[in-house]
Amino acid sequence: MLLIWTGHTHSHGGVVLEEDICLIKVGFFQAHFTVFQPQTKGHKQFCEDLPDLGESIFVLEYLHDGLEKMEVDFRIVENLTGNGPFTNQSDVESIEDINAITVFYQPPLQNPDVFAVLHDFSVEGEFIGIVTAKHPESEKVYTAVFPFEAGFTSSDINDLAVLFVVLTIFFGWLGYLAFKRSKPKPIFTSFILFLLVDLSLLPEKASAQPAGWSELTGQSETYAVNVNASIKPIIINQIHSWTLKLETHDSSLVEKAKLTVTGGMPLHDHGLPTQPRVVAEKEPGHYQIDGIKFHMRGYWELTITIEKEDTRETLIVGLNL
Amino acid sequence: MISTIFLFVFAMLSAGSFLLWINFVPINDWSKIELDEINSLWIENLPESPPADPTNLVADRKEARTLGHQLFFDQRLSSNGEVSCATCHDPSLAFTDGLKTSRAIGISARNAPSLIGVSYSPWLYWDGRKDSQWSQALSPLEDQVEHGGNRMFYAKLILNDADYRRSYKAIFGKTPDINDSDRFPDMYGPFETPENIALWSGMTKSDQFTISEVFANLGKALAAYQRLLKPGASRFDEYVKSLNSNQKDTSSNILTSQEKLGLKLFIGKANCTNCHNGPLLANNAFHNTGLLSSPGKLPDLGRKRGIDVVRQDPFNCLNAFSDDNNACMELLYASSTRELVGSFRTPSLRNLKLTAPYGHAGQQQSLAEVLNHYNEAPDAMIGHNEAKPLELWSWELWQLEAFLETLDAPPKIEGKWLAPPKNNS
Repeated sequence: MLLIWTGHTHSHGGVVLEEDICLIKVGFFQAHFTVFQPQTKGHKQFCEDLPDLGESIFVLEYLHDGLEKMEVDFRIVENLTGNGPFTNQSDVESIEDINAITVFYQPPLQNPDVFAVLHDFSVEGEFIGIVTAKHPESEKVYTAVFPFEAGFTSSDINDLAVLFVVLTIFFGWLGYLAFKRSKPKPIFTSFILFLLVDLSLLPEKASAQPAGWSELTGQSETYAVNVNASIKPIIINQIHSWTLKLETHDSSLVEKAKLTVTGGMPLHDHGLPTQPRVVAEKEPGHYQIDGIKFHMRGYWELTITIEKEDTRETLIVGLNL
Repeated sequence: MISTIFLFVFAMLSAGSFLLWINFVPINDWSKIELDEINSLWIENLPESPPADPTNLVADRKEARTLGHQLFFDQRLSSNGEVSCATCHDPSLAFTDGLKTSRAIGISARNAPSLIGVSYSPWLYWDGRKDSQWSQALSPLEDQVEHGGNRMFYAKLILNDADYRRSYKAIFGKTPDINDSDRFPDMYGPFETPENIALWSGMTKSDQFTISEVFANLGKALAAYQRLLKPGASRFDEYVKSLNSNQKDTSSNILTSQEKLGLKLFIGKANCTNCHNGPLLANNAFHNTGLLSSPGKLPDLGRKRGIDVVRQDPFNCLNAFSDDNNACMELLYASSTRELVGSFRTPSLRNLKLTAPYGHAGQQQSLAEVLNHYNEAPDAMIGHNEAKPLELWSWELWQLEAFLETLDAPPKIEGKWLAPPKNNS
């Protein structure tokens, strides 16, 4: 059984995970585990030691779908093992009466959208967090253990050291601001210019002219689609339908294809506010898609996947609102 | 000594001219794109009537508005006789209560949103757990910390009050007989208590339906009244109007330079119109902006839970009390992805000054606090903050704040609707 608690940023490998978020492995399942002390430390995230006592919110976000099928529980116990930050699974296993030293217990939950628990630390000390996931069928139990301290804000650092740190941070921050404001701007501007040039190649603003059959289009290797929207012009924040005319490049209508629709704003990195679906092929090659809605102005893309017999092709309809 | 004085004067002059520069540098010309964006926010582009609600046949009936108006201000619609809708939706505060989270029978978990312009939204509540205004109106009535009553109590109240009974009959055509207390037992307190649930499940399905229908109709009348609450033209709208009529001289006086600079940021690099778009300055969609949890509470899942709740709701668009089950595209096609964890409905920015504090749990007391939050765009406790740090200078935040304070205006409605009706106690 693999048990890793990685509290430090350098152990993330810097591939996908953001720098300041901690990774926990429960067996071979991965999850983010972060702690907030919102009332005293605002948005600051902690993954090992908690500076303050009081309200602490532990948030576990599953990175692995497998965890959703499992019952996950969470326990905080006093760390009496004497091993401090080096406490591991076997230390925990050798605890005789775990309930006697438990300060917080969240009974098993299956697939919450977010696994979050709140514990109010009233005394400072060393603790161990224990996450357990139980497989629903095999009954196999996976555990992750992480030692941490709470309320360790020390008062024995001498004032000069504090002043030094404050000054370093202050000047570092100034330098950072200066760097941030001076350097990236030309790059940013050229990026915007690039975007503008790029946008000029995009379809015309949909609101500029009423959408008819020929206005919104998309093409793939075999197919071409034309869009006829139920509202003209297409505007933001209004749910509506599209009729999609699906043809091959030699203009013959394509019947009985299976269409799926997804979409979003590539520049904003988010999806549609709805989940549109094809509801009917109203006449041969004419597919009605319900539930289309855009909630921001700007460039949107709808990705349409066309499955027919054993072929599968994807095309994109872009529109600028 | 002289050089010190000289330095001091020089410093004062520099600071003074800097302040003048940031606040009074005039903006006279807007680009075509900017004008287009400014116009998209103009109140004249808000349809005169809210979108039709086919699920509520009486939504635009005069008698229903009048009944809704009476109900809205009637404190008898609560378990302690002291809470009306207006308790938390005070007309003098743009139908909010000025509190972090509302106080009625108990203390609510969320901040009371303004009701002005809400009828233009397909989703109600911060988390969108209601899909129509009439269905939304029912929830607080049965909530234990809000009105604290139950549908049986309200149905009896309406049908046993001569005035209400008459109005109800005129609008909905029939007044069911619910006097048989064996079939329709008296229920006390919120609907969801074990005693009430037991009494309710002892009733026949058709008697349950009778009571729920009266209850739903109450919501429909309340919605008819609330559909009247539309925003009025603010100083910002006056400015757009004069821009459009090319009256440069007047337009320059309507907004100060600082406010215009704020507007420029609002439609430009502050990215506000990504979500605060259209004439209500809200897209009524759901976004995670990384607000902190309230003291003693876990982070709120927001829309991720809201969408599950509304799909199960017996008073939603697809269920028996909706007057049109074929007008439910929003509900049928709503997204329910993980992207929605910790997301909340974009509130309208109209009447912003009057509607503090801000955020779904009133986390932010002032506009300055809100703007600082967006400027930093910190990581969200759950899900992901969609906003990116703005890196604006502090004077740019002042300019934005100045602009945001130009959006207040009395609602576009006759004064009589903003006070309890005359004939009501």
